[in-house]
Amino acid sequence: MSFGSELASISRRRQDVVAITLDTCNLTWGVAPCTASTGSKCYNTYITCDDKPHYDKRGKKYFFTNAGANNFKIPEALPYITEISDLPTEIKENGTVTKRLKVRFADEPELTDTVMDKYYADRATIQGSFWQKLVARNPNYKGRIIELYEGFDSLSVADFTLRFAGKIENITLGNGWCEIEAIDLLRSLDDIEFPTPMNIKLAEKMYRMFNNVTSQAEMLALPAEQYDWAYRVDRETLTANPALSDSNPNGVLNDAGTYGITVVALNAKNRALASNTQNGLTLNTGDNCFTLSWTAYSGATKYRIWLSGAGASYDNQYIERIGTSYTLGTTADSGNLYPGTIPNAQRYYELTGTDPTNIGNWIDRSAAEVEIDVDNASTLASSGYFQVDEEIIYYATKSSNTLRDLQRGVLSSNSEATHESGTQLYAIASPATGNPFQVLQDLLTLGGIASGYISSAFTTLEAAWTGIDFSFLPYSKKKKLSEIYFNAVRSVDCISWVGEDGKIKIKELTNTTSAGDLNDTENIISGSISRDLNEESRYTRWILHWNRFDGTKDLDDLESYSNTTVLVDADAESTNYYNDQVQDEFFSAFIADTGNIAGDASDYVDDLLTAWKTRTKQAQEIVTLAVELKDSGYKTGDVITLTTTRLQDIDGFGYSGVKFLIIKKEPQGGRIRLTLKRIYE
Amino acid sequence: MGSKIAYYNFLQFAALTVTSQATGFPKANLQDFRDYTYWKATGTGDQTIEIDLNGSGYEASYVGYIGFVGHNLKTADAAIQLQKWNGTEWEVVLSDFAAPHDHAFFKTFTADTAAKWRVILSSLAAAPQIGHIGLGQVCEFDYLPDAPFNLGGERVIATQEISNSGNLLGVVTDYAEVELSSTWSPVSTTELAAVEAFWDNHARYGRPFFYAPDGDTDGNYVYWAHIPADSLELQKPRSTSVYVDSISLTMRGHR
Repeated sequence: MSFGSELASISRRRQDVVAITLDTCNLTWGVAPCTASTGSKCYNTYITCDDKPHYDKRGKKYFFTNAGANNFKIPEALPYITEISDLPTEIKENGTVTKRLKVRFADEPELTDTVMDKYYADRATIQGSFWQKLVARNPNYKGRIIELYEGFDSLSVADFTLRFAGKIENITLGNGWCEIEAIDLLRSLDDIEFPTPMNIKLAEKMYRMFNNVTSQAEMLALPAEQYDWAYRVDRETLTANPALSDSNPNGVLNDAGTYGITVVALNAKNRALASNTQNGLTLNTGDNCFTLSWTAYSGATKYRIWLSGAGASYDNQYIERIGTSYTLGTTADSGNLYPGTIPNAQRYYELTGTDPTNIGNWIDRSAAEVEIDVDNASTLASSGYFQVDEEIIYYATKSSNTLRDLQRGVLSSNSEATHESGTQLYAIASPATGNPFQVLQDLLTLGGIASGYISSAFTTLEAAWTGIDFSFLPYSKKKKLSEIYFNAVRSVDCISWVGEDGKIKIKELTNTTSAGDLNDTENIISGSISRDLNEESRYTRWILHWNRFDGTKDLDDLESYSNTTVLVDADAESTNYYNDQVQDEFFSAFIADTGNIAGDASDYVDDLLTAWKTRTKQAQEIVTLAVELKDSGYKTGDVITLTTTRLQDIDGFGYSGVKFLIIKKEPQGGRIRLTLKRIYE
Repeated sequence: MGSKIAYYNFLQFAALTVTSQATGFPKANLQDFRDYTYWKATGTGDQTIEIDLNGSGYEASYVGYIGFVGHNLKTADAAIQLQKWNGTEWEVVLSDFAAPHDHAFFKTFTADTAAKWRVILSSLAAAPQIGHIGLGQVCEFDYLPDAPFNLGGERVIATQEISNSGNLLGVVTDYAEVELSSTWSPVSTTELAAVEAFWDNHARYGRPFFYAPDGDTDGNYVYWAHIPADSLELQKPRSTSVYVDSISLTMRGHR
């Protein structure tokens, strides 16, 4: 006997099983490594733990079934369920209605405590009621997994089918009852911030960093305050005296050709202060070296000379000098060459006084000195990114709780704000680029959703995908993760919802393969059918904004997109037809030229808009009908065909094989109410 | 033969010893009046459940029945024997008997006292599983309930659906307890005393009991019954004679 055979039989008795997974310690009280030794024994939960450092967290499932049900085949289930109310998933273009589950349980006093208490036999007395004790011992129930299975009273629990998996939101206790309210896993993304907070905070105040200062004059004009920083990217011009172009016939550079010479002045910290480059210097046969001289630069302790051009062996090598002249091309050069590229001008300055206009108050700092202490860096990688307030920062090294070699305000974020000690650090997730279905899975993983709750359809679609890569800006403005997720879902022209097996589903809207036919004879319960013409679902123009370039703005901020594509159904907007303009506007944070071959993203957008037009240029009627329990195999997200004389088309004949998408499925005792949405292909 | 009610449970005050217990199915589940939490043995070897009342205050209490509910003793083909400790040795109270089915049933015997009792399960074809064992007292009526004599009224809650074309699509039934309301008349003062003992010591607390309306304690109509919370009431209209006119009990239960 199986779930399927019971479902197909003409009469049967339904049974529900609810499973709740709460934390439990895997150790035994007082047995190593548990060091507890005095007082009453714990209840193997964290709050009752007598040796928290050794608490070994695992999951423990508690099973329940309907009050009055014969649970002999499910002996682990307590028959406490008195009522289940289920707000089902409804698929919409932009997301899902929150699926909520409420289960009411009976509570009862216990003479024994065998289900919850591992040490019941050691207690002097047993008292209290089941639920009161369960909640008291597990105050951290919120967010723990609850599952609802349905089956028949002739089946073992292994033959039951999962109908809901979600997270516990709240528990209410009454006199002799307990009610648990749960939300689905997608809804739980609403509670997760994007970027996601790390369990790390700044341990000191972080001052402002003025980035990309391009001259000393600009630096001195900064609105800086004491301890603020400036990051200069300019390099002063090193004055050549005379020009770096004199040739000298006495050297060993035998390769006639055109050369370039760069002399860079460096300070004691090896940072470039000034430079001079002369290109197009001709070396004729017989002119075997260059004689160079330049004017000393204030603050410079050394000079480095690069030669590029026909003498390729000199590329990315330099000669270092203390003085201000050199004859390049002598036999001594070959022994004094050091590897190294011409340095970028990167200089950090910290304002040590209060007056930023006084150059003496700006103290030159090395990159390693740009650092910050956090309260606990143990979980951080040796290098990487984090976000604090609206700023994204890269750290190149980590030492204990100090992050060093900081690059402030990277990835288009703003570094000109002070971050107070104690400010929360956020992980910058990188669902950055790649296959859209991989990006979606990354987002779900970021939301703490285990892979077991993610439908295999994601990987199937990922493997089959031949379209563009998604590109997402590293995000700096805080959002709900759900908003990001559903933006990606729509960008790839899909729908996503929590399926009845508790898994998060994904379906391409272009996939209209029918799962079966519902008809008057075999399926539709008498008198149950009705329809809503759903006029508001019709559009006459479709607008897609894409190529987002500014991550600091809201997703729907037009200013942060560089491209907009519009498709208009002129016929529909004409006076003879609807005579109105109804637009479907969408801001895609994922569709971009970045990472794609030129023109591909544009073609993708054109195809996407065409598909939207095909689907929504006519109102998609909503049909509701009821079927018997035997048809519960049809699930939300399935496409079905409908054959009924109760709905008629232009010619007055009944519908025959008309395609609909099941967007809602509500169990109502022995019947199931389905809400269907018309599909146009 | 009149109706029988087997109630009370000295197991709840006893120290239990069992030959074996499977993980998650401890022996304590035999004591808690809940037929849906189980003791289960680890295998098919002979199993002994020893009930030690020493020090409990119930060593000298009269015991007149043993009952089983939430069990698989028929499926396991168990030979069941009840013994008592007479101070010197184990003495057979009920020699080997078989469970008539896997539903509730009980066996009565001449009430006796003992500090220790034991149930021996042998010849097992499957690991035995028992939700609750009752070991207590019996309230016996002289007669069956008054007419109309109803062994148990069950009203099935069901939904039936037909299609637009009139075809029966399916039937779904729900769980329903059996209504066991009974009235007995006349009732002798002896019976009244027994009923009052049952009521005062057990039923008024809402605790479940075994009920055999036709007196056949291992027949098909033995219920694991209780008095619903909204019916915790014992009506005892008394006439001037030595007989009470009638006693009514509103009960619900299942097999």
